[in-house]
Amino acid sequence: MLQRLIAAVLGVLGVAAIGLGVASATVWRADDPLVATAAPGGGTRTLVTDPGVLELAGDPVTVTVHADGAPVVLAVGRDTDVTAWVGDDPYERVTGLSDWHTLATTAGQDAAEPTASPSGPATEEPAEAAPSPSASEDAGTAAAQAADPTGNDMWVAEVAGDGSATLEWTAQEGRWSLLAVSLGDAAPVLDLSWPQTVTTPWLWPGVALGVLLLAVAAILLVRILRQRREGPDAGWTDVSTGTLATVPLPAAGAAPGDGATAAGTPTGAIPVGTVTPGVPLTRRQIREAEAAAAAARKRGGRAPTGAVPVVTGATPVVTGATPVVTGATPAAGRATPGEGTTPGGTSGGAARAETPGPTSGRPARDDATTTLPATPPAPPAPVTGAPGAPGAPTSAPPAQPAGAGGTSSAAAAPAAQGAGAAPEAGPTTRGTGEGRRLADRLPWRRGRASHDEPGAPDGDAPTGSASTGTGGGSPAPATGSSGTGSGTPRPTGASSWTPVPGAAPAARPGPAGPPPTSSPAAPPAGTPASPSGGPGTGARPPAAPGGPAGAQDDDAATRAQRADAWRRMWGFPSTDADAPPQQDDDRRTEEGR
Amino acid sequence: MTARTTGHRPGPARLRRRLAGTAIALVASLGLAACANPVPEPTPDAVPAVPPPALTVAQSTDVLDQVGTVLAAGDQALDPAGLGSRLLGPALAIRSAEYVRATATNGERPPVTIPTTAQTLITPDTTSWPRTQMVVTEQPADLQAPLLLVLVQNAPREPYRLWGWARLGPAVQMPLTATPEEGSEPVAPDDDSLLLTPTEALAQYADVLTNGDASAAAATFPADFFRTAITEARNQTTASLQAVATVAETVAPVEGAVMALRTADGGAIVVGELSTVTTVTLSQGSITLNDPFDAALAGKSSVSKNLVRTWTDVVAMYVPPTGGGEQVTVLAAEHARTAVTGE
Repeated sequence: MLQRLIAAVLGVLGVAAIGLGVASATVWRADDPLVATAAPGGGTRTLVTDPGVLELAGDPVTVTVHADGAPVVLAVGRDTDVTAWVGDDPYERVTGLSDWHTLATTAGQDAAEPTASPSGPATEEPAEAAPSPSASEDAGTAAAQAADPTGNDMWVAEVAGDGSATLEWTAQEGRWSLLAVSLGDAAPVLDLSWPQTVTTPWLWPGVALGVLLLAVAAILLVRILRQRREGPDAGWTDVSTGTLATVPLPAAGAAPGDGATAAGTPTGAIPVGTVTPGVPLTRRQIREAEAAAAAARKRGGRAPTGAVPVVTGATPVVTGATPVVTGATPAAGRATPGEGTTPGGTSGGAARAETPGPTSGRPARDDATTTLPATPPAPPAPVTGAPGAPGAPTSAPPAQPAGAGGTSSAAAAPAAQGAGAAPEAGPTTRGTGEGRRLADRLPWRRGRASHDEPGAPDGDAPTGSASTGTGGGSPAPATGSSGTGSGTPRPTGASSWTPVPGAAPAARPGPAGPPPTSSPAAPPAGTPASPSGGPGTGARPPAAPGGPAGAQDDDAATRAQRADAWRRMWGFPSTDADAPPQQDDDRRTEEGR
Repeated sequence: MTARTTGHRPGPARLRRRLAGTAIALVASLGLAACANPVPEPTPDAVPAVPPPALTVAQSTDVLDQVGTVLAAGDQALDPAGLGSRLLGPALAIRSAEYVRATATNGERPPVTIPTTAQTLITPDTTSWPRTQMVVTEQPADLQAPLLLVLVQNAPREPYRLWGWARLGPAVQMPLTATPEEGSEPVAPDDDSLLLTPTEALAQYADVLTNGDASAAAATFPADFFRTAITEARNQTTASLQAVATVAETVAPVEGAVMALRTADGGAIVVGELSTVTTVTLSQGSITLNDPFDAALAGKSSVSKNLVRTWTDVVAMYVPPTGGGEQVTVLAAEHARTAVTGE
C-alpha cells in the first residue's frame, strides 16, 4: 500500500515537474515583446520618461500612447531639453518598471512654484498651457490643457495623433527622454514595448526531473503489479509433497504395525499390513490431497490468484514424486532381502535397479519368463511368457540364475517384497520427497530423479506404456535406458511388483499388447534382446526397437523430462509436457486399482 | 501475509526517501519561483561632463530649412508679417526694411539672398537658454559673399529663430571651430578668458567705427573691410551734403545683443548688433530724398531741417583668447538701413 502510495506520489511529482517545466516555457514564458504600461490617470496630461527607460529592456522600443479621443503627441529629446520644455508644468515621471508589466511613475514636479510661463513672452504654441493663471494651478483645470510640444526643434523624434500615437525609438548614445502629452481632457496611457530574447532555462531541467521521477514511479508500479500477480513468494516454488505424504502416513504406519511379522526390519514388517490392495496412495489421491492442501493453504490467506498457477506447477512435481516412491521401494526391497538372507537379495538388488528398468517391455518380458513360475498369482505372466518366450530362451541363461534365485525368493518374496515395496512407499516417500526437494534444486540430481520417476510408473504400467506405444512410449523408453543395466535380473522385482498393484491383468495386456500393436517394435526388440541375453544387452533392445520410432521418442522424452525438471527448478509453470504423463498416471492408477 | 506487511512498514530508509521526495519538490518549486527575474532597472548613460550639442546636424538642417521656408514665404509676398515665427531681432528688422525697399523700388533692389544651406555649423553645447547657433552658409547663387547666420532659441518652448546675418568679409578666414557633433561652448558676454569680453569687444569696435583711428581701441581693431566701408559711406555723405548740412554719425552697440561661441583655440566668435545713426543737420535749404527707400522709410520725399538715418548693423568678429593674439578680427558684417526720419 505504501509502495503504491509512493509510486503514485512520485508519478504525480514527475508529471508536475514536467508540467512546470513546460509551463515555464509556454504559459509562463516571458512575452516576446515585453509590454509595460503607465496609466497615471487623474489630471495628468504630460508624461516624461527618465533617461534610460526607453532602453530599459530592449533595443527598438515601440512607444504607444492612448488618450480617449484627445490629440496626443509623442516626442523624444534629450532629457534636459524635455524637462526644460516641460518646465513647471505638472507632469508624471516614468522612472522604470515597477513589475514586468507596469511602469513606475512619480509626480514629476511639485507645482509649487507657479512661475510657470517658462518661455516667457513669445510662446507661439497654440496650447499655451501654463500661463499666468497657473497661480491657481489645479490638476483639474490648469492641467487640463497641456502645452503642445509639436514642432519643437529639440525633438529628435516626434509623432502626433488623434487618440493614439506610436513611435519607434532606436537606442542612441546619450540620455533621451520621452515626452507624451495628451492635449485633450483625457489622461494619456503610455505603453512601452520592447522585443525580448526569451530564454526558457527551466524547460529541460524540469522535463528531465519529471521523467526521472516518472521512471522511478513506473519501476515501483511494475514491481507492485508483478508482486500482486505472482503473489508475494513469486520467487519460490512450492514443493509441498512432504505435507501430502504425511496424510497417508498414519494409515501406512498403522498397517505396518499390524503386519509387523517380518524380520526385525521395520520396513520389512510394514509391507505385510499394507499390501492390501488400494491402500497405497494412488497418484490421484496424492494429487487430490495435494490440491486440497494447496487450496487450504490458499484459503489460508494467500493471494488467491497467485496461488493457482503455483499449484498446477506443483502437481507434476507430485506425480513425479510418486514414482520415486517406487524407486524407493527397490531400496526397501534390497534391504529386505539383505535381512532375509534370501537369494532374493540378488533379485532384490535387481528389483531396485528394476524400478527404472522394468519399463521396457523386453525386460519385463524377460522378467516375466523368469518369474512366471515363481509368481503364481500372476496370470499375466504366462501370457507374457508367451510373448516373452521367444526372447526367453536366448536370455534364459542369464536370466536363469536370477530366475533360480528369483523363483525361490520370488515365491516368498514376491508378496513380501511387493508388500514391502508398497508399504515402504509410505515411509520412503517422505524421504524421497525431501530428497526430491533437494533434487529439485539440483539439476543433476533432479535429472536422476526424473529418470527414476518414469521407472516407477513403468513398474505397474509397462503394459500401458508399452501397449500404447504411442503416448506412453515416452516414459517407457526413458526408463528402459536407465534401467537396462539391471533390467534382466529384475524379473523377480518385476514379478513381485506386478502382483502387488494387481497390475497383473494390466500387465498382461502389456505384453500382449506389444506383439500385436507394436509388433514391429516388439519383435525386433525381442530378437536383439534375446541374443544378447545379458542385462546389459537387454537394455539395448529397447533402444534398438525404439530406434525407428521409439529412440527418437525416447530422446525427445528425456529431453522433455529434463526440460520439465529444468522448468521446475526455475519455478516456471510446466508446459503441456506434463499433461501426457499425467494422463498416463491416471491410466496407470486406474489400472493399478 | 502479516510478515509481509511488517516487512514493508515504513522504516527509516523509507522515511528518508519520503523526505528526499519532499525536498526535491521544494527545490523544484523554489527554483521555478526563482526564475522570475527581477525587473530591469534603467541604466542611462552618465550625465556627460560637457553637455552634448544642443542640436544635431539634422536638427540644424531642419531648422535652417524652416527658416528658409519662412523667408521664402515672406520674400514672395514682401510681407514681413509671417517672418516673426522664424526671424528675430536685427534679422527681422532688416528683412522688414528690405521688403520696404523692394516694394519702394518695385523689386529693383530685392532683399538680400539668404542661403539656408550650411557650409559650417557652429553648434552650442549647452543645457541652458538662450541658445545660439551660428551657420556659415554656402555661397549664394548670385555670387554674393557667404553669410554667417545666427540662430537663437530664447527658451525651451521656442523655435530657433534667425536672429541676424552678416556677409563674410572678403578674404576672411573663419577661425577653426568644433564640429557640430562636438558642440562649441557658448561664451558669456562678460567672459574674461578672451582678449576682450564680448561686450567690451563690441563696445570698443563701435567706438572704433565711430572714431576711426582716433579711438582708444584702434590698436586692437585694425582696419577692416567693414570699417572701411562705413567710413567711406560716411565721407561720401558728408561730401555730398557739405554745402547745406553737417553730417554726424555714431555707432553704438545694442544693449544685450551680443553672443559668442568658443573657437577651437579658446577664442570666441562674437556676434553683436550695432546701431549706426547718421544725423544730417541742414543749415539751409532742403534735401529731396531721392532714394525711394529713404522716402518710403521716412514717409516723405524731402526734409528741410534734419534727416536721421538709422542703420542696423550685425557684426561678427573673432576675439582671440587671453594671451593669444592682440588684435580682433572682424569676420562678417551687415549694414542695413532700417529707419529714416526727418523734418
